[in-house]
Order: sequence, then structure tokens, then C-alpha cells
Amino acid sequence: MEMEFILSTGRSIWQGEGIEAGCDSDLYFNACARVEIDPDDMERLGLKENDTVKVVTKYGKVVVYAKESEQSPHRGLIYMPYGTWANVLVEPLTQCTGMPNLKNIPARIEKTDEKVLGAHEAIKYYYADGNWEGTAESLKSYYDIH
Amino acid sequence: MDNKLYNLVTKEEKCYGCGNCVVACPVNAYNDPAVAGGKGPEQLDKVIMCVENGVIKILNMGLCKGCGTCIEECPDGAIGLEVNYTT
Amino acid sequence: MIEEKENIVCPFCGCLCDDGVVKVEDNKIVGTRNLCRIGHKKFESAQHGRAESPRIRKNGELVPVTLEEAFDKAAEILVNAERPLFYGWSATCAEATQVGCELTEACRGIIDCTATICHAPSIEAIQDQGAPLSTLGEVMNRADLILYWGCNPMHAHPRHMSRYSVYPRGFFRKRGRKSRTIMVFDPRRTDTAKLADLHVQISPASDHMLVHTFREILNSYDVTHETVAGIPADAIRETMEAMAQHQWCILFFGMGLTQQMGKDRNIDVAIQLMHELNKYIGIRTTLMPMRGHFNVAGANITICSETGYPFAVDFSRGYPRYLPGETSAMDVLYRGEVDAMLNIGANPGTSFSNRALSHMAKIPLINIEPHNQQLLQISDVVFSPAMVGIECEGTAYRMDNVPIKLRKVVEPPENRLPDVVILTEILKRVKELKGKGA
Repeated sequence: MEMEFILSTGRSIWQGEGIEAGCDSDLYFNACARVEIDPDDMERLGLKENDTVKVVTKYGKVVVYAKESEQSPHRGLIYMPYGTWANVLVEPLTQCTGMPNLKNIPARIEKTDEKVLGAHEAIKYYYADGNWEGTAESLKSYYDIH
Repeated sequence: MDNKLYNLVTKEEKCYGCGNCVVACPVNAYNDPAVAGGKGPEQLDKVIMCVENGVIKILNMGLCKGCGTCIEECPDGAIGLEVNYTT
Repeated sequence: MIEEKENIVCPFCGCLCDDGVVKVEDNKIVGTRNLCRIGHKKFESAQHGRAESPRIRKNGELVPVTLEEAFDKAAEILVNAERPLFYGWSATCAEATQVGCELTEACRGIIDCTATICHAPSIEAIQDQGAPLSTLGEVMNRADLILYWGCNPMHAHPRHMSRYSVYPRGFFRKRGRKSRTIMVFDPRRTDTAKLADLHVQISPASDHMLVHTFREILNSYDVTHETVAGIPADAIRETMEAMAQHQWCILFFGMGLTQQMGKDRNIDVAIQLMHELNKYIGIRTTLMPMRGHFNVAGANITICSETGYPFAVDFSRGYPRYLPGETSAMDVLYRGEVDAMLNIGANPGTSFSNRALSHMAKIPLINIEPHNQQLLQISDVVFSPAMVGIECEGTAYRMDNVPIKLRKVVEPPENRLPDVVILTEILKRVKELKGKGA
């Protein structure tokens, strides 16, 4: 089952703690490799806490854990803490302000059995090995124009 | 200490260490002017609680009169009031 | 014996809480008091998991080398680059940023700070509109209406509410929280919203519309739509009336306004709203961006005082130029212009967008960062410096642009130099190499 959402990224205190503990720590992984979904939407999607889901936007795809949001209700909105995983999905265009769009990105969620990558693995997989550009759907044409 | 009507219970794993409860608490503010102005406590023997190692810690349970201000100011339920009806 | 060091400034977020107590035993940090969860973690983990020496990538692996070798390699990369980018500056001291500006000029590169992905639109809007600013002390003593718009201080600046804005008892606000009204504008019911008197749950990305509706009401126009931003027009009118009952208002705004469609235009209208509240109703209004890193305000101020512009300064013609959207870090990275990068006091691995990181992986990257961050996967030269505010001193600017001196808590190990020294050494070598070529 698939559903359309609006993806918002932002800070969370656990992400802040995780960064300070070190990006290879469990704290960071648990805090950031997650997508927070409204409990009602979880039910409609048939998801349970800690299910692995694939979040897909126009700009990339990433596998993370689904979590029930503690700061709900926010039906139709999904939330990911800033971090390696959320970065794969955000809109890199800045509209001449120097700031990419990190909030309000159309996204969809699908259930998957794929493995969630660690922070170092994710950077290596997506950027050092150059896999990110393959996951982005419509970027090629955009950058050809610009 | 144990036979008081009210007892504060804390859940360290939930606490953000924001110190809302420390500053909002009227007893702390009355006893320690630094707390009244938003700072961390300077006289540890006169305040009910303080933030230690990033989480809330109860220091002097005996000073608490059970007004419940701290509970209202915690968004995460990391501090709670337990009523001891048996005494 | 455990020694308690008092009045330690916490180098994590823009709050720069200066009342921390850090417990030190044999030059080891064993505990803290008064600091929030994140601040405690910063001090606790400062001495763990740090690299002993600088490292250079050889045959795809990071290999430990001597300091001299690493300095030479870094200078070589920068001298050979046509358009190097110097990014970060927000988790280091203002003194380091000064050297950084000099280094950028010597290399004819671009200097940009992390404001570019947090409050750059705010700065652009303030340059457009001007801004009534205040210090956090004034907020504590005077504010009776506090608006948090698109920010979540309970998570990002945990002690902001208790230390500076909502809970402390001030000179004119003697009852602390009870003397103040808190309104939160956020699409989620955040932990800050749970503490507020009024939570306006707007639909995502409609902040601009809602601010304009407030301005419509203030300027006595009719609101023609029944709902704006998911809020009924009557409720907006009532909110406006409630706001008008107060004397001194501050708007704290965060990423909710700057990181989505509209960007600097969102802040533009917010500043205009504050101006009109002041003009028509007589509420004294100010606003303050919620700065993220502890010295991001300082990076802006230092770069501004050195070059004349607050961020995204381009020295490629030998003199400073400032064109946000052209010379800002994100744009030069996603256009693929940059051919070398120096990262200091920032963690782009957690904050840069995909396209920028993808380009960073292709170019030589010098990384001055104490911790084992994920960016090491694509770094080519890595320095492990002393941490500002923990192992060395420095100046930082709080979110209200008040400079605060950071303290030294413990002695750094032998090989870990402060950021200033590392940059000065690189600068010395860059000048030597440039001199030879000329």
C-alpha cells in the first residue's frame, strides 16, 4: 500500500544528542534513521512501529524505520530529523536564496524489506559510490536545463 | 521522607534537561534568586530539583509541597506527582 | 578529586548558556550540572572517540600522518584549486573565522558559513526590511507575548524557554510564565506547542498566507476567504485581537519559515507584521532568529566585519562580492563550480542536500572536525583539532548577537591544535606557495 504525504525535516533533541555522541553511535542511528508518521496514518498504511519503509521523493529514495510520532496529530505530514537519511530526499534547488527546500516536499511511503543503512554506509553508498544520482527520478533533465 | 503525601517521580530516559520544571517551581524560585532569574541553582541544599548530567534529579524531596507546577511545564511527562494515600 | 568548574559556557546551540557546571577529575570530564541533554552529551563525549593525529587519504584509505605533512597537503590542495570553498565556521570561534577570511582572500575562494542552510533567508530579509532586534535579557524582563513561529525550542534549544524567554521572572514580568502569553505556529503539535497557551496548527508551507492575513486584519481589510492556511478566518481575527492585548511582543522564528517555499519572503512579511503591530496598536515588537550552532551569529558578524558581507562572500576577483543564490555554498556545489573544499566547524554530512554532497564526494575535501563524522567517508585530509569551549578558549556570539567568551575546561592532548593555529599554519604555507609561483 502506498500513500502520498508531505515530507518535513527538522531538529529533534535525540538527533542533537546523537550528533554529539558521534555519527557512528547507536544514539545517532536510532534518532535519525526514522520517519515519524501520524498514528492514524500508520493504521491506514498498516504499519507497525519499527517496520522498514522506503520513503520516495522526486529527488531520491531511502529506507528507514517507521515510527509513531510523539508530536502528533499531523495527518498527511511525515517528519524526518535532519541527517544523512533525510538529506537523500530533500530538494537541492535554492531558488536564488542559497537555501535548499528542506521542508514541504511531496513524498510517498511504501513498505519494504530492504535493510536500513548506517550513517557511514549511507554516505559511502549514495555519494562516494555515486548511487544517489541513480535514485533521483527527474533531476537529470532539470540539471540539463540549468 | 517516605511518608509524605506527595512524591515527585522522574523518568530520566524521557527528560530533555530543559530545566522548565527547575525554573517554574515556586519553591526553587523563592529559595534561590538565581533560579528565579532562569539560571541553574547555586544553593543546592535549598532547591527541590536540578538538572544533573543532562537529566532531572530530585535533591530535596522534603521541600516539595505538591503544587504540581513542574508537571504542567513538562511536555514529555518526565516528571510526575505521586499521591501517597496510605499516610 | 572531582573539581567543579563553574560558569562554563555550553558550546552547543545559539543559547550559549553560561551557567553550566562541569565536573573534572584528572583532566577528564565526569559530569555536568545545569546543562541540557545535548549540552551534557557534548561535554561527556568530547574526550571519547577522537582521532590521535591528522589523516590523509592514500589509495582510498585514511592514513595517519604527521601534522607537517597534513598542513603541506592541505595547502597544496588549496593552492592548486581554482575556486575553493571555505565552509563552516559556526562551531568554531570568531578568531578562527578572522584567519579564515584571510585564507579565503589568499586563495581567491568563497567563504560561507552554515547560516547558508539555516538563517540566510532571514539575513536577506533583514537587509531588505530592517529589523527591530533585542537581547534575550530584554525578552526576559519585558516580553509578555512570545510567538514561536516555525521553531521548536524544546528540541533544538532545550534551555531557551527556561533560561531566557518564558519561565524566568523578569523586572516587569514578576510572575514568570504566568505573566506571559505563549503562541506557537507550527504544522505539528510539537513539544513547544504542548506548553503554549495557543497553538495555531497551520497547514504546511502556508506561513506566508497566514502572516498576510494578519496584516490584512491589522490594516482593516476584510478577509475574503473562510479559511486561510487551514485556520478559520474568525479564529485568525480572534488571535489578532488576543495579540493586541499585550504590551511587548517578541517573535522567535526558525527553520519553518526559512526552509520552504517563499524563504526570505516569509521573513519579509513577518518583519512587516511586527512593524505594523508596533505602528497601529503600539505593541513594542521585536524579532529574533533562533540560531542553531553556537557561533553561527558570530560567523556572520565576523565575516561581515572582515569583508563587508555576512555570508556567501566570493573573492574570485580579488575583492569581496556577495550574491546569495550565486556565491552561496549550496549553489556553487550543485552547479559543480567548486574544485576543492575546506570544512571547519560544521557537519555537512548531516545537513547538506543530496546534490551538494554528491559533488563534494568528487572533489578534494579538507575536514577540520574533532569527531568521527560520516563526512570522513569522502574527506581527503582530516585534522583533529581541540574543541572550542572545551579544550581551548574563543569568542562566540549568542543568538541575540551578544559576544560571550568561551572557557577552557580541560587540557587538550598534545597533538590537537586549536582551529586558529591550524588555519594560520595552512595560511602560512599557502602564502609561501603562492609567492613561489608569482
